[in-house]
Amino acid sequence: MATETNTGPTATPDGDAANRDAPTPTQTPVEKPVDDSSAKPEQEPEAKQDNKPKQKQQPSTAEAVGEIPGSISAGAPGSAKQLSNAEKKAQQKAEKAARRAKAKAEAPPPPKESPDQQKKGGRRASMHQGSRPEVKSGPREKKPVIPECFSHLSMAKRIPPSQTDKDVHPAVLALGQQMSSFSLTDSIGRLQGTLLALQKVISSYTTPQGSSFSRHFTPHALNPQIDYLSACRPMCFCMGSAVRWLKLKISKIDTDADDLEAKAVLQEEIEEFIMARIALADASVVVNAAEHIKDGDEIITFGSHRLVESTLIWALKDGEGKSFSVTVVDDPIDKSGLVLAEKLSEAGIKTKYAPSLGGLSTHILSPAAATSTPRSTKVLLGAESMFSNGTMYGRAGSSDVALAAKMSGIPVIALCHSFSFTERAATDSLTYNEIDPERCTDQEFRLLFDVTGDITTVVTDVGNAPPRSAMCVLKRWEDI
Amino acid sequence: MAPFQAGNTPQLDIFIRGLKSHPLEASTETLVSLLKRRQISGSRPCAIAAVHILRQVVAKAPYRDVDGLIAKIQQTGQRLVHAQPHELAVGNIVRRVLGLIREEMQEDRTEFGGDSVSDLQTLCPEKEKETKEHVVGLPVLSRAPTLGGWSHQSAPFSIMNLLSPDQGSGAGSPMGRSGTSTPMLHGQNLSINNLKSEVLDGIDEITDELEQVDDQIAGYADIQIHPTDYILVHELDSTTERFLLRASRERRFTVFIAQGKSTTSKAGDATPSLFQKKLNSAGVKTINISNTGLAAYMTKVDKVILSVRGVTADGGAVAESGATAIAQAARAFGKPVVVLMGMYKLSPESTPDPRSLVEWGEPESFVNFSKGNMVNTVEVEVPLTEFVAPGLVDTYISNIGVHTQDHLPSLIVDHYNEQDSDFVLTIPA
Repeated sequence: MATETNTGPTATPDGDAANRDAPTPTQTPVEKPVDDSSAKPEQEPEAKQDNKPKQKQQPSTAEAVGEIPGSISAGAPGSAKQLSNAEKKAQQKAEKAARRAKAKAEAPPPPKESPDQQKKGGRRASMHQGSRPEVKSGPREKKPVIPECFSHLSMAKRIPPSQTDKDVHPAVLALGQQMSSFSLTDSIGRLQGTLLALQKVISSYTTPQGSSFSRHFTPHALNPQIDYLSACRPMCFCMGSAVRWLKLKISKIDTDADDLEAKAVLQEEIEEFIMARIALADASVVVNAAEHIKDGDEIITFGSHRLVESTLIWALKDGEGKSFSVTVVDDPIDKSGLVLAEKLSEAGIKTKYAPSLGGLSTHILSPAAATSTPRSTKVLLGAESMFSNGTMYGRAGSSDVALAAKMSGIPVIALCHSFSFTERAATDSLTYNEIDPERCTDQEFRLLFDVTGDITTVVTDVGNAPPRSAMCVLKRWEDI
Repeated sequence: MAPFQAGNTPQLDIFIRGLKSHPLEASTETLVSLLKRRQISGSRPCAIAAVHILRQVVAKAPYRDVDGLIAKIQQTGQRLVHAQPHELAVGNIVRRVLGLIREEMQEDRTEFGGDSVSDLQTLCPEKEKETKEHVVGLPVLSRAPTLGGWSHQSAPFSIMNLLSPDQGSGAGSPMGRSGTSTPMLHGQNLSINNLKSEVLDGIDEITDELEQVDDQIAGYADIQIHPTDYILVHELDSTTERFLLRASRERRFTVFIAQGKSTTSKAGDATPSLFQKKLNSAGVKTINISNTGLAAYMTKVDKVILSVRGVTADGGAVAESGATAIAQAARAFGKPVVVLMGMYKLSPESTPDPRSLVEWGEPESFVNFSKGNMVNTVEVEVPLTEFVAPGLVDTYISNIGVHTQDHLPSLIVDHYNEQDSDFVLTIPA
């Protein structure tokens, strides 16, 4: 809202176009909001252009995203509806430029789109029209084909750096690339990365004149980052919660506080958060979970999860030096369990490796032929998140493992940060899920997660809980 | 034979073509090594190969009498089963042929008149006890001693038979009976030639059955598949493909094809298979699912169709690995699991330890020698097949109908002679 007052006088369409063609270094502080309002539409269509179904999903993946359109539309239409000739000129210019240099073109698309969009008024419809030509010119050839019955699910998408909003901070840009390329996959890792990147965003931010940090930062500096991140890959639940938490903290900053003060407060808050909710929580989950491992246990785990890995190694080495063996069941497609098996065997744990779910019930879980004692005694699963109805959101395949264990009467222990608990509820795996972007063609389809209701115990940093009491765990942190 | 050979592996075609020109022993040896090397694999190709070689045994092998023939078949059958012990279909076919011979033999005998029959019946009890320890496959003329038994061969252990007097001594040890030798000369040559042609006809019928089985099973497709159904299939085989194609003529549904194998992630699977193209052109959607666990999709799925390699007498199914997880998920979500099986897949054996039926693969595709420390310390288990426990399957659809688990024993009695149930063990190789 502060934007409107700023943009109104300066951002006449002429000025807008002129700024792009020949940027004037004079009005730097005021300019920022202008760019902001005109550039956002450019970024949003990118997020959605390839993948229409995604739009529906976005509000559910992160509230943060939902808030943004409001703030942008408030600023944009007022500033640009006044002119029509300049619009056309800008459009022509943009088209030429786009033809000449598709790859470099960071500036051309926005002038073309923003008028386009403003003319139409309808935000989404216009975005698609504006962005379509870009899609075709883009380097991606294979267009994902999502079967209709899964069209409500979201999917990560690589956004070429050339097509990103220029307000996106370099640190966030790099993080987004890591997320969309799945080199950073686990939810806590993503959360931590996001917070660290946002710290850099905060430190490099200066509040424009006439505004205050707490009012200006969220819509104009924070939201573009969040937008970009969730366009790269739908945010995981804990990221959504963290962003909400951060916004709350920002809103609590006194409007009279100067930049330095506000930044210092936020930096400290984030640092504290990382320390308490991630690092310390990691440690307490591991210690709590290691208590469940007894001498002689035969433990099954699925894929690789950092909490499971640390728990097993803790139980062997730093804890009481328990002796147990581990069977790593893996997903043959992502093979992350192989790395875990290697690490565990290097650590000195007796390890078996089963590359797929084949034989899980018949060989791994069930009693061996000669003896009647079960071959395995416990299943440890790393959770991506816990829903309030007691179901676990985990890597695809976890629910099959948990199910098989339940049928064999073997307890299933889920490891989860209390911060990864969400107040949402999911009864089946298709309520919240993500499609594997690398395997979404007309020949292949793959989900990244599934939902398990067969959990015996959840081990969190605040202690053990039966899965049904997820809501209690959630409440415990609400006041913070 | 031409139509069903079209889809066979080249090795099987070459083998069948070479049968006539090669001597029997050479052909048998070839087949044994083809089976051992898995150059003929899959239950139907194995069954077809077994039928062909057994036909050659009946046609070419030297034997003077029925027991000689039975012994020859048993010997050959045993070699085949040992060559590919995981393929239940091979043993099933051998048993079918053995049962056929016994049936023909019994029919011949009744044709020769009742007096010899009554003689035999009086002779049999003592004879049997004396010769019980005889090597079963002796190439001596032998007749089945208890004709009462033969005439009821389809159900030798029914309650009715237990009470009939002429069964008395035989009922306790039915498996040991085939070796009894009884001098019996008249009508010999005529009988053996008759029998040979009858048996060859019977074998041709089995061949025909193998040819038609997929079509017959497909006949039940539109009853089982409803419009707008979501069908989950695991590891397509020819039977399942035919089944779905038939259903696609009348129904519009969606097929989830589960391919939990790691090979799918490699490049080169970009083109849809001919089967999928056909389904798509018929308006049926296909979605290849690369997840290893399929519980996530179960809420969407209406019916699970499993392709199996074999079905044991108790209803357990030998299927590609991963099938148990699917069947369990289906059970947990209350979705029906349908097994499509040609009768040649139904084995009269029920294995006490299902692990023995599992075929193990080489782990190198997952952990290779570049990971030296893992090779030394980590045990890698790669099952290729898996035993789906009997209780997890709801319906079995065969070429002769739709069955439940409880119905399988009667099917077995109809198709196999109980004396052959453990032929692999009765004769030392």
